[in-house]
Amino acid sequence: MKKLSYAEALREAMAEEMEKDSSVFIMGEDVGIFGGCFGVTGDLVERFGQDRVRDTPITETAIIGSAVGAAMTGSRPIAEIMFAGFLGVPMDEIFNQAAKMCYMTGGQAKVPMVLRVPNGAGIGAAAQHSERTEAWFTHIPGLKVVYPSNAADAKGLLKTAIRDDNPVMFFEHKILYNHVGDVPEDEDYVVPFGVAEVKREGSDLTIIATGIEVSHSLEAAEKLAEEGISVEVIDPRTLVPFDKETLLKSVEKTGKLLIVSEETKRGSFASEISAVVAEEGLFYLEQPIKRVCAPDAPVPFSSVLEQAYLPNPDDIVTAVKEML
Amino acid sequence: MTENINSVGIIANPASGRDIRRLVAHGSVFDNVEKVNIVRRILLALNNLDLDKVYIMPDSFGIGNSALNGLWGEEKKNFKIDVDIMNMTITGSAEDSFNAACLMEEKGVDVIIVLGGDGTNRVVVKALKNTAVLSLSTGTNNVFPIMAESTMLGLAAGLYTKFTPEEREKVTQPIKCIYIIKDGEIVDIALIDAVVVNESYIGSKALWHVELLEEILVTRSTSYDIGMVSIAGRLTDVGVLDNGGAFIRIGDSEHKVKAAIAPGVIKTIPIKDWKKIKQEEVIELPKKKRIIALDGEREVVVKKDEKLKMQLTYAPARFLDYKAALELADSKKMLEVK
Amino acid sequence: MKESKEELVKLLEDMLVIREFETKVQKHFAEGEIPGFVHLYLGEEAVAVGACSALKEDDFITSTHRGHGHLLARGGDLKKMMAEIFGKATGYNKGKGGSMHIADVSLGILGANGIVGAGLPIAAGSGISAQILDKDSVTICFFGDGASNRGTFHEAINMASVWDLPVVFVCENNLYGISMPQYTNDHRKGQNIQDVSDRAVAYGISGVTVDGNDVMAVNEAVVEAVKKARSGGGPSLIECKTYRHRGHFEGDPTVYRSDEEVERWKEKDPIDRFVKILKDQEILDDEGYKELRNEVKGRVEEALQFAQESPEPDPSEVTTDVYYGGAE
Ligand SMILES: Cc1ncc(C[n+]2csc(CCOP(=O)(O)OP(=O)(O)O)c2C)c(N)n1
Ligand SMILES: [Mg+2]
Repeated sequence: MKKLSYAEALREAMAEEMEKDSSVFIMGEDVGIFGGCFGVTGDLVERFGQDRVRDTPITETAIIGSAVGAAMTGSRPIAEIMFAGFLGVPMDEIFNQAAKMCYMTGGQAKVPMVLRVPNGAGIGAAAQHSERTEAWFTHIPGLKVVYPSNAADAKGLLKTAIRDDNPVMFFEHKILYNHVGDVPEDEDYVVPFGVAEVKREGSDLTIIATGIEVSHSLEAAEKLAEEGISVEVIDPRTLVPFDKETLLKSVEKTGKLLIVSEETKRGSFASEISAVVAEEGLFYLEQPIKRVCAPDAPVPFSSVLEQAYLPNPDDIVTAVKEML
Repeated sequence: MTENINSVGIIANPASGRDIRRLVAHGSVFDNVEKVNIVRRILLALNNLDLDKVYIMPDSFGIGNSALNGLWGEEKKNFKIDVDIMNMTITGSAEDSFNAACLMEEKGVDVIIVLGGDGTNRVVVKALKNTAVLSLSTGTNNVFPIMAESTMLGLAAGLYTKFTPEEREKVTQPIKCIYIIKDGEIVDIALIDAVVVNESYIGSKALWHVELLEEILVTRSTSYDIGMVSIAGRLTDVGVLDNGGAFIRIGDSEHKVKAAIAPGVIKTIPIKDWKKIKQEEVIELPKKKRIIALDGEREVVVKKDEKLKMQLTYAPARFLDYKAALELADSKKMLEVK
Repeated sequence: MKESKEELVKLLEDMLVIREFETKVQKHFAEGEIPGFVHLYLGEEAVAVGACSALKEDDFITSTHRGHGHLLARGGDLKKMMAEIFGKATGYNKGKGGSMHIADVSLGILGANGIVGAGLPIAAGSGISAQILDKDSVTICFFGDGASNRGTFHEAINMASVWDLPVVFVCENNLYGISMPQYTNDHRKGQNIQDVSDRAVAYGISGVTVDGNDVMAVNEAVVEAVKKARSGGGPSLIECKTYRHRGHFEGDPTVYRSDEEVERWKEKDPIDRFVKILKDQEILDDEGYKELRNEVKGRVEEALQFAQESPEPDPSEVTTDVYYGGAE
């Protein structure tokens, strides 16, 4: 194990895959000498050259559209879109091109591409630069949607994403970039898709959380433990494919489910999780499901407002207590 | 012909300036918006000379209308010329320039300003019996039209309409041309060069595969002109105003010359033999199937049993020397304000 | 440059295949045998054939909603194509794509697209692959005059130009995007320039306009552009002026254009013109032409029969092929 930040772990994953496979390349705005808007690509351009770490013009549509074309012709592009809030721009390229190409061609075309996106609020970047758009993409058949909550998963999942033969939406939480964690040193370390991780075992209640809310939930669980409340915390790690079994097993054990997500509540992935449990595990539940999400409003700018807006460990503690 | 009416015609070819020479050579693009600007500048110049009428060839892009629509403010208020965008069918081909030239001549215009390349001018000159032309280059690879500021051309054309027949003779030049004669019938003309090419189709028209060249007849041979005529330029000197031309046969030979056959394209051409030819001389070519390129563009298909001749001659139309016209006007103080 | 008799006759044959194929599709669509939308390539044959004949086997193309001609010119299997258009299990896309998405990926066809203008960035990406994988492949991107107004046109050509991507952008300017004329003298028009190729200058690349109903003119231009792209000279924009004989889709009442206009363009029919050249040059005689046509007709008839007799897809196929290589 070694200590790496989430950003460094992502960079290491890309570097290792680029080392191993010359068809892997990176493109995006300011990913070269500038090192990426959040420093994720860092010095990769020095190591792999401008051909494989391509600084693009400001051209979201062409970044994704050309990633589709490159992927269909034997390359494995890793495209970066600077902020999740910019994903509305190349939406056609994502949902009509990348996602549907395989199906429309009757399984002939493969589109092995990764679209890396900084997701989430918390840096005072206001409404357009703080989006959490993962749910949009879980709605689209043909895409895989990944959302690591820590450095080790960031690396392992990104490597799996790069090796996958399908388009992968890879969401990274901006606040997590500087979070340092233990990352396995083994070059073959990968995290498979569709396998949730039980981050903390417990018996009174199940929390399932995504992205940064995994850390918040663990913090809340720690506090609750001091009061003798035993909370199980699950991180699905990939939203598509989604590991239902791990979640249903936990709910069967605890009988209570709290879903925590930084998304705005309506139509969120939290909603999808609750639907899955309602459909397949309703009789495990002793009481209604609860969701802790952001309110249905854009992300505000002022720090005071932004903090009021975002779900935090205290909100989680309160919600758990309400349920018990 | 209506007497005592001063009028000018304008033929602007909307299709010139975008052919394959932008790809096979380094020709420049001449977009239609710039042609509109040029026509507008010509109109503004003419407006200062109390001209009676300007005829403009209609085209699918609407160069004439756009030129007028772009006038505003004082310019628009002071614009008095009667501009007639002629009523004729537009085919979107070279036929339009030909038909427009015929119509303008019928209307009795004094001079036609042509915006286009050698190809456009070839068609216009072919149509004319006695009207003068003033040609401004808007294509690539051109020899016949000149490069100049259109405002000055507008002034020159406008002033020319007021010259006496003797003065007109003085400021215009004869135009040499080549008749292409198939089975005894003149089928087309060339202004600069007629080239026999060993090809079977016209395709994208432009000529750049020099290995297929066989014979070349030129109306002029200077050291500085571009195109197929550049091959002749290496061999002999025949000025634009000199009588005569030259005939060259290409093919296996120790004698090779470098020629600028297109913008940025210099090729080595083997010269089998060549000779000067006299004005009105007729050259007979061996019978076989081939393509004839006129002024750099493949135009005429010759079948294998057709008899092909070419004759160097003069076109009936004359070329307006705009500098001479402006100088003459100044010597007559035509632009002095009383 | 194409000179040999075989090469020239092959161009004619390829155009005839499109003509016969599309004519059959037209007929059987009218008879209600084909579901969905069908956009025919009739009248534009010289563009696909002139352009695709400039490519090598391992080159690529992106196609459009009007894509049958592209796939046929690239050597698509008539039976699998017809079966796909009929929505049958034996079709290229197992009945999941239909007319608008018909493609043979193994022939380097990067999808036929129902989204106008979507092929341009994909073609740019294919050009990136040539650089990343160090291959000398070239990609032809077919798109319409209507598509040239989309942002994808700007972004893809800009990117291709910046990186010298080996892509040839072939604009099929058939003068209309559905009912919207590409250019007119009034305000109802797609763009305020008459030649899409004028836009090339703004991206610092070569742009030319050719007669899209002259297969040799298209071929010459694309051959040169492909040569340039393959040798590192970057992308070009080739505009082919052409015309669709049929409406935008089958069933379009075409209220936006006159019969005289259609007739004028039919006089410039790309096949008739090329046949005349071949006959004039004594490359083909009446007998040879008749034989060729009958042979092509036979192949198309066979494809039709194959499609009609093929089984429908099994309903269990609905959820297969969502992901490459299997399930989520
Ligand atoms: C993004 C998008 N907008 C609109 C349409 C609807 N549509 C389908 S074809 C077409 C016209 C396209 O015109 P053009 O690009 O000139 O191609 P053509 O049909 O003339 O071959 C339109 C508007 C679409 N499919 N995609
Ligand atoms: Mg169109």
